[in-house]
Amino acid sequence: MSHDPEPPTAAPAPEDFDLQALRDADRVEEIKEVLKVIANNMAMPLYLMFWISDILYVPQMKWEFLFVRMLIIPHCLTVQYLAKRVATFRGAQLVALYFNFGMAIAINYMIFRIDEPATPYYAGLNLIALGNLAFIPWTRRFYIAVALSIFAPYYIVGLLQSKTAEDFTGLFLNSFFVFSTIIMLFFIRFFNERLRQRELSSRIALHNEVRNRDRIIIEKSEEAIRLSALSRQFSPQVVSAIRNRKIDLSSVRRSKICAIFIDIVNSTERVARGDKDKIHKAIAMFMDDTVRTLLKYDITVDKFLGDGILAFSNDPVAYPDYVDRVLRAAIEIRNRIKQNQDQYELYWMNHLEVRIGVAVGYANVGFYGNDRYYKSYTAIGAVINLASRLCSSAEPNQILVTSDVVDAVKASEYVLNSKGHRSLKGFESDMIRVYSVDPAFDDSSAVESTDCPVCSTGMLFLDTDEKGIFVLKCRECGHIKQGTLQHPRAAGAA
Amino acid sequence: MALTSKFLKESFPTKHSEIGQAIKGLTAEQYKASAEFFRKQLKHLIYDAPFSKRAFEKPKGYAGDYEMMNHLYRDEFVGPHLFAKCLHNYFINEPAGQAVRNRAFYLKKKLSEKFAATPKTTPLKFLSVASGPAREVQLFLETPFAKEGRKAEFVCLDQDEDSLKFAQRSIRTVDREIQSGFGFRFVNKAIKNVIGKGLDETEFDVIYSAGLFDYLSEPVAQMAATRLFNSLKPGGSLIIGNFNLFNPTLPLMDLAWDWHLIYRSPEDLAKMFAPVGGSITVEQEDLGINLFCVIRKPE
Repeated sequence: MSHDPEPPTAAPAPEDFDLQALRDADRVEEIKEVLKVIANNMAMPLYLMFWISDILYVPQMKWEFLFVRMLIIPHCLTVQYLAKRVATFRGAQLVALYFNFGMAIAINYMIFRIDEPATPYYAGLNLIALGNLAFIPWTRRFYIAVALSIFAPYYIVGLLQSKTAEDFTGLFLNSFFVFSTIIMLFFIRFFNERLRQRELSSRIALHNEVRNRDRIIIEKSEEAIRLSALSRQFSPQVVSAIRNRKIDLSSVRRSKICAIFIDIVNSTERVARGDKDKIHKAIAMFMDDTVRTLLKYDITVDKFLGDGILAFSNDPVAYPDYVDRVLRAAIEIRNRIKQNQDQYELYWMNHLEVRIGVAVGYANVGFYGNDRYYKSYTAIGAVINLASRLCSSAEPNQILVTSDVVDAVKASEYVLNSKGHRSLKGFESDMIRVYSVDPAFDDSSAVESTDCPVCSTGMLFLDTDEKGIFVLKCRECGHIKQGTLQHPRAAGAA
Repeated sequence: MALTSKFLKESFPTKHSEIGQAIKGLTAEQYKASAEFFRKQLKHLIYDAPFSKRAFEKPKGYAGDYEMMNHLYRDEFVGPHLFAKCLHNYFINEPAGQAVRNRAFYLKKKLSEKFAATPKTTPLKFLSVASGPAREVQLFLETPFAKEGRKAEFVCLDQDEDSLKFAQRSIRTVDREIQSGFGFRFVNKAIKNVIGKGLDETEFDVIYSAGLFDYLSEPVAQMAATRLFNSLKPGGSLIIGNFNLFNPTLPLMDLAWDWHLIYRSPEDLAKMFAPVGGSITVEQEDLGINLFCVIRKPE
């Protein structure tokens, strides 16, 4: 049984997942199916077969009743015709109501003609009720209307024709069966409807799950593509933090960054003159050495400009020592290239040297670009241009920085030599004081090839944690080697 | 000034213990929030004291720089106003401050013991790692051993150039009067390099480090101790200082100054440095706040 008033029964889109709308659409099809079966397989054969009872019970009216019974054929054909064209739940119920009324009126006519209120022909009405009230998913209002359309004429005829107490008693006794039938069918219908609702809920849940699964697959695929792109710009731990939604990259923000620009000396000339395959290998090796080192210090690789690399620190992950990180990376890149010089010379066919410029300042940082063509995590601001100009101004193998960089680093770790004031292109209005940077000590922070026990690629480095405690830490995965002792107050823990 | 100092000395220690109880069992987040609240509320009161200001601001990147040690050794009333002066003096006379002063005397005693235990003709070589102002060397120069004319060399190693310059100036000033004839060298080297690669020199009779290992996690401390131990001559001693688990000044250091150390018990030290080799004894200065793990290299 369903609610009143009846809902609109336009066929719902599968995305709606409105249980009631889906059920109503379902019921239209159900009514059509039931009408087809009842009309073809039940009503027409049974009506004609029951003519035998007419011959036996009222032989004097057998031809009249045969004519009446034959009327069921056009009635059923009409109902089927209408049922095919009906599209709404209400329309389908009206057609079914018309079908019932047509069948019931034929029986009621015969009861009227027999002129016997307690005639067993009332059982035909019960059969109609059984066939229709039980199988068609009526709304409550239609259920009552159908029951009335079947039995109301019978009672009107019966009451009009009853003259004796015996007539009334017979009518009264029949009423027990009539009402029992109506009530019993009501409950059958009620439980049947509940089962159908459950089935539909399950179907919707299944559909939702399949659809969600598809959506998750699409989302994960898109995310995998996005993270693959991110892994070219960020270190593995930053990519992991982005994946776990610990870092939000959705908006562009103003950040203080330390920009670094690294360029190979005389690359244009070498590229023009050298063997293209060998040059390609040398540049690929340079990129590998440089990007690995930058990512090791959590420095974001902004872009590649030919053989030049632009990167910046302090965004998306902020570090108090973000300037130190860039200088350490710059020194390490220069050292790596020196260490691998034999290999570089093999491909570069000359001594490969780099220039490095480092500057500190504010920039707008975020995903710039276009979703359709290209989008990358980029910094835009004067600090980027300044780092680039410093790089151009640097001598081969020199790291050139501004006084802001000098102010921001632990001076004891570097040898900082003033190189005077320079006028840099794009910054002509200011004479910029520049310094060269060299390490004060050998870089021995990598501790004797101690591999990280957690990740397969990292090494343990001597580092300081946020409390200033010296620890052995993997720069790839952030793992910190622990000791065996328990220190409840260790590192200032409360 | 006397009254204020007296009041501080009477009231502060009680409050310390209350702080300790209040922060006991807090989670890391709760502790962080508490520390921020504490600092915000008391900033105008406590950070005017020069010792407190420097401890919190850490201009050298770490709290226990040589200037902090000098504050402790000078025992002065300094600050922009009376309350700051008294508070400064109170802070440097906290048990932890006294323990730092005591450790200079402890190390002076160990240096003297080494002189006493070796023939006068035997040259000696000492190394102070993260030497700071090398107060113990200045104190040792005032002992009779400094006037014996023995051959000895004191090497001070620190990553802070200013600290080394100060130590050099102070030691030369004292030695100019004593005329000990000792050699003094001042090596500017990053502690990371010492831990990572060890020392370039060997054959030290005593290597000591009093204010460094509290900042080293266990694996790093073991690595550093092994490196230093390898630079000892046979029969030499490595003396490693570390704050004891019991430190009454801890709540103040933690909360007010964000000054975090790793506190270790005598058992921790003995266990931690057992893999280094040699025989281990754990000693302490008079207050028992500073422990010293003495690792002796076999002959």
